[in-house]
Amino acid sequence: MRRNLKRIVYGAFFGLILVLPLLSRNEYVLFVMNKALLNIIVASGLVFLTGFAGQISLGQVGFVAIGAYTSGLVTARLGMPIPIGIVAGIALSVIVGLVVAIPSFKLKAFFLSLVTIAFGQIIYLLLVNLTAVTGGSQGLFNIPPMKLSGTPFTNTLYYYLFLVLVALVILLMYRLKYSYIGRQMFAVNDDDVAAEACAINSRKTKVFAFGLSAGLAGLSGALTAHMVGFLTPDPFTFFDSANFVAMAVVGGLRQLSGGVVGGFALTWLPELLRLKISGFENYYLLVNSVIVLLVLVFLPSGLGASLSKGLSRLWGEKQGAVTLHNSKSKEGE
Amino acid sequence: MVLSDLLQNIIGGVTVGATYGLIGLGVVFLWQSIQRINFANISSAMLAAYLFYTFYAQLHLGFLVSFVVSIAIIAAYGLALRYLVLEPINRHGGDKLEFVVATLMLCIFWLSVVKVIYGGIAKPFPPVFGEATSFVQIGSISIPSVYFRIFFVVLVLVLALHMLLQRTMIGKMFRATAQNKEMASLVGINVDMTTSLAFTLATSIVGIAGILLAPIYFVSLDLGGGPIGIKGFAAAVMGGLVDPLGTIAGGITIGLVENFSTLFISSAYKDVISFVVLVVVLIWKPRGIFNWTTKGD
Amino acid sequence: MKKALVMLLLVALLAGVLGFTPVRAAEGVIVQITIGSTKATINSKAVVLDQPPIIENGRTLVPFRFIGEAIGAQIGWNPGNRTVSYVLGNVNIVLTIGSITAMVNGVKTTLDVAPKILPTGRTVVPIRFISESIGAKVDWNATTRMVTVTVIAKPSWSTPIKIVLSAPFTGSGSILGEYCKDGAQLAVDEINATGGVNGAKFDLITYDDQANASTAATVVRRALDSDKAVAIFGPNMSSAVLGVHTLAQQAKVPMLVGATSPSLRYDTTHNDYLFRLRADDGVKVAQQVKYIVEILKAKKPGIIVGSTDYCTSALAVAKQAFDKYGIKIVDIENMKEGDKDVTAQVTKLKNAGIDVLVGLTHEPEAAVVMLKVRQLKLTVPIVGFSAWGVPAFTDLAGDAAIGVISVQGFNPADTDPTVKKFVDAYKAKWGKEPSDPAQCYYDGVYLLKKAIETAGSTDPVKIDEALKTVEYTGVQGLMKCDALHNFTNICYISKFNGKTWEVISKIP
Repeated sequence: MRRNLKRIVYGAFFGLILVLPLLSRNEYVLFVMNKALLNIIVASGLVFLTGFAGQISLGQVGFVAIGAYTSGLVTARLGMPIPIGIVAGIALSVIVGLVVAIPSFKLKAFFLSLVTIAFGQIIYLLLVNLTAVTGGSQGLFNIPPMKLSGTPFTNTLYYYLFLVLVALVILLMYRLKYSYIGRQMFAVNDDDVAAEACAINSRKTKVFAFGLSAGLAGLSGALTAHMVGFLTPDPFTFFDSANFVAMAVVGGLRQLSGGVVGGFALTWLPELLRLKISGFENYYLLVNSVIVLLVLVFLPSGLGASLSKGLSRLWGEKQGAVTLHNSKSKEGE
Repeated sequence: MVLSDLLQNIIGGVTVGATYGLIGLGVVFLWQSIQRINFANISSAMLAAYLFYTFYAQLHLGFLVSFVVSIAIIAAYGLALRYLVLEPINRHGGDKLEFVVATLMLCIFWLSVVKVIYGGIAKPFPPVFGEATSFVQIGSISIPSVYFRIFFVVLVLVLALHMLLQRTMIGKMFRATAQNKEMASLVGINVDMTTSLAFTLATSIVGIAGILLAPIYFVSLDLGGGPIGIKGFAAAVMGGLVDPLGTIAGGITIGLVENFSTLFISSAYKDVISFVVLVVVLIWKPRGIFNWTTKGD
Repeated sequence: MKKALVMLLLVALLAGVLGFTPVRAAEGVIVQITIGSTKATINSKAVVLDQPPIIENGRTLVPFRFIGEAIGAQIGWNPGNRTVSYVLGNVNIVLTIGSITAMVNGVKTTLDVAPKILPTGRTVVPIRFISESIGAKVDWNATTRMVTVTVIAKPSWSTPIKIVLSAPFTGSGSILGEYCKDGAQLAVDEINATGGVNGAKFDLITYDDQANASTAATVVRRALDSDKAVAIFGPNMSSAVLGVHTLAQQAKVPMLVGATSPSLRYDTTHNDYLFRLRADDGVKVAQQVKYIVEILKAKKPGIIVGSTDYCTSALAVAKQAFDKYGIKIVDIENMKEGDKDVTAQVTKLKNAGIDVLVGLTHEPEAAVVMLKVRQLKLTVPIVGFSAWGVPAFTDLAGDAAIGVISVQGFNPADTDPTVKKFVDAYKAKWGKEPSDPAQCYYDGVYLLKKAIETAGSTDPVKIDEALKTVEYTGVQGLMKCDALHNFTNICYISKFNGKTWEVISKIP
């Protein structure tokens, strides 16, 4: 009986996702959904990097920017086809990600976060100042959209494409979590000295984590570039990086669904708060940050964790599965 | 490059850098006390500046009253930070990362609050430290008089802190707790009190730094986030997150690096250079450059 | 308890997302029926009738409910009087079963054939009479025996006219959002209080685009797809407009912006739906340079420039302008928004021996520069770009701003009666003086009103047509769409005397 309930709920949920473009023929809704899906990809990468591997990154938009501008430039300036642009974007992001991983060998937590902040800021400043290449603050325009037999993708088409990509990302993370690499990652997260003692190469693990999360961010950036058609440095500031980290934490750092829940919630929350009350346009970001703050303070393990716990209780599953708890800080760390 | 130009840049760099050091102190005290980083550290600076502006320029309450009341409120805010943010997070199972992200959001929250109440346009800081345009001429060097006042206050504050930490009982308790919490409580030190002290000290010092910086940064949202916050962290890092004097020295270094990179390289990449320096320091000497304490941490 | 809250939050989120139903604007309708057939179409969608249309006395009769719903009228049926009524807009039709006398808006009219109840029990009414009474076109094809009724979308002057303003309220350009909104809202309130537009009121919806081109893309889509606005004001930031104006073009909705980059001119964008409400930077910078070269007779200009697109595109125009005069720019110094110390930059400028300083930065940076200029005793004339001519700069710089000359898009001290009336009304309502770009959105709303009245319709396509030809005299003088889709080129050269900006020249 309970198992049927589970099937019904999941079925309804996935069904809803699949037919959303048909239910809501509102292009704006689809556009924001698409942005949410792309954010989910970045947030999932962060969940992987920070939640699984324990490495903090407060400059993740740097990778998104690299992916976006690379693909944009390769297709708009060099005239290459879009798939090449996207691959180039991902490749460059991954390479830079591997480089950024290096400080993580020696630096912990706060110090690492400073390096990632510096990284993000450097990328931003390069975007603004290298005008000849990036267009500077005036932006890079005429980025070709994805096309299906000659006609540009509609929002609906992008939606289904991104859904597939998100599904693949979740699948990848699932496989990784329960794989040898995943176990290594959690070990490094908990205590990398102890992990090294067990012959786990913590450096390789960290490099892998950074590379993967950077690649996902780069993918998201490249796709954004083609969907929107233009790029400016505006969405690549420190506060945007902070927002992505918030997505990962609000969603749940230890959940596979963390990126999904966080990405969806924090992309839609500010949009929904755009109430048509005159004067509210001044307050909505304030309300947004209050809500996020409250969730962070009262539900530190994230909405995703609470959601899965709630759902488990709904269909009376025993919560005996091994859950790795947050590692408590040690003295003097 | 004329000597007077050089000296002017040095003076500017040192003064402003010293205030960055004060901001760094906010980071250091909290780190020493709870081993966590408060990303809303810089918000105290902005809030203090706006509070002072409200009391002095809008309510005409006189310099001393405005100053004392503003800092008192910020000190109370420090306590609120402990009991309304840190404690609930700890209670609900959150750890370092959750605190970091929560304080990040808090920083954004304060920016929004100030924007809503005061608007986004920067306000001129009332000329309590001297007229904005008045300057002192020494030979061919002109130094804004504001700088003198700022430097003076920083000096007094650093000396007072030094006195507090080294010569008073409270200071000793504070340092003891920072070194080893368990031992400290075993010896009968009220760790709870020293933690609260850390919070209030951190926010108050940063608040004072905010008021000091307001003549230069204006009473603006610039005081509450972005590059200036990072500079505070950089100063703290240079001091190894442990040495208060080292933090001030680190701040001064950053101020100087900023000015000289603009002078000799390019103003466009000024911030990049500062960040690169920060990264290099972090990787090369994570223990801090100006860490003159004997122990590691 | 907590879990319940979380579920509630997520469900609310989902509901909010799905709750976005686009508002249906007044649409045109095409109805087609064939004699003797139960198959009909409404806007090409197939519909099945329960009673095929019949012909009597050469007039086609159709089921009364069908035609009423098809044209979108409110249907009434009174069995007591045996009357059928239709109400659509301001047309009221009453028919009596079996009578050839009908009432249209209370006026008696004679029909060629009376409505009747058929043996099948269905009530039928004359389709031509009903349709033509509401102003629809009726066509009869004798070969196919098909009647086509075309209802042209008529603006329902009782529903509010939706307009959307996209402006920056948060983010780095945040100081301008208030002015944009206050200017637009003042006009909207004035218009709504004095009878509206042909009786209909403006409904102004304001969204924050965060001075971020990426957010603007979302906001404009919301305005077009969700709110179905008939016109969009803003974005105010040029790079945002560059990214979104094609959306307006595709949706065929006019976009009226205060953004000032020259790259938004019609010859570059070829967008029939994009208009500019104030002088663009090309014009302003050209005037600025003209003043510097021709009046100040400067020969060695130095420039300090910010890093946003506002600053960099102004720099590009300035370089071109100086070039045309054959004057070489001696030194260009950069600063970033948020920079507080420009000692190095001003020192370099001073050492380069400039004879005039051109300021191409935003307001806070302008204040930082002027404080340093006064401190380092750089005594050359200072000529600033439009951000230098506003209170946000002079309030911050205080006495340091005295003597600064600036090109302005608007000067509240202008003694022109239209300007004064606007300034007084603005001050009365918002408690502060208006500043650029409040005036351009104020003018913009009135301009839109005139365009709607000229077009006689709230159809965005028709409004767009009207905007291209309409003339309106506003705060910015005579506004008329030129070949570049700019409505005005007005600007001032003024000098700050410590309290107000004294106008040196007003162009044109």
